[in-house]
Amino acid sequence: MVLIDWSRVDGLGVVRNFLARRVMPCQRRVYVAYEYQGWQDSTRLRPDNLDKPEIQQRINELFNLGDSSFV
Amino acid sequence: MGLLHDQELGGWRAQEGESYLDPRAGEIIVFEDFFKRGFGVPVHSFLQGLLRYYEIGICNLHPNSILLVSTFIHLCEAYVGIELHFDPFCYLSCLRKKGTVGGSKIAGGVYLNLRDGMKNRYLSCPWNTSLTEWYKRWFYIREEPGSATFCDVGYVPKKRTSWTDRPKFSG
Repeated sequence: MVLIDWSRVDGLGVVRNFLARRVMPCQRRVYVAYEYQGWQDSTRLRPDNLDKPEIQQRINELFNLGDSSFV
Repeated sequence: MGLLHDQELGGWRAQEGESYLDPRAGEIIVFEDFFKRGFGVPVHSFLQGLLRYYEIGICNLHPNSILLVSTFIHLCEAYVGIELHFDPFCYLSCLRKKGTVGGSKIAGGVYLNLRDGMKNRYLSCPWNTSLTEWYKRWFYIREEPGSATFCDVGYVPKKRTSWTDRPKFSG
């Protein structure tokens, strides 16, 4: 874990990233996440993208942030 | 929320007004809030390994623990690009039993938590957010035979040394 600069990444960012990719990290994959291939990736739950406000709404719900929070 | 495939493809069924957990053979009990936090089936071998190691079932975990595991998996696989390994995870976190007051001892009876002193050495995040009545939103889903996610709904997890054993790890 010394490989990671913790000032440049936080938990909310990681969660936002997997929400935006529409993948479930706890689900078995046919290949690992660093081989993700974008919107046509076969490990996505759905091909359509979530827009930023919807991702933010999910983040706010997960972390009990106010509706107007944007982090 | 688009978190599941359709019912036929996903092999899930809703509870039928039951007031207690009652899975059929081959089904596991899962909670809606698990899926919001990155859970999916078939279950990742890393999470299955954790369940075996701690000797608990998937329904024993609190949804916030699913988020902790999801984030660790995604951090390692998507950000760092390394193979998942138990030791860093068990070095960072341990399994604890929920307090004795209120709630089920089975559904969410245990939770993963960062160890003391680890909050400054891992992702900054409000991991333990309040979540009410999540255990009322469950359903059943088919899982592969032999999966470690199966659990006896009558099983109350008993504390094991594995819950808090800390691997030697210098990272």
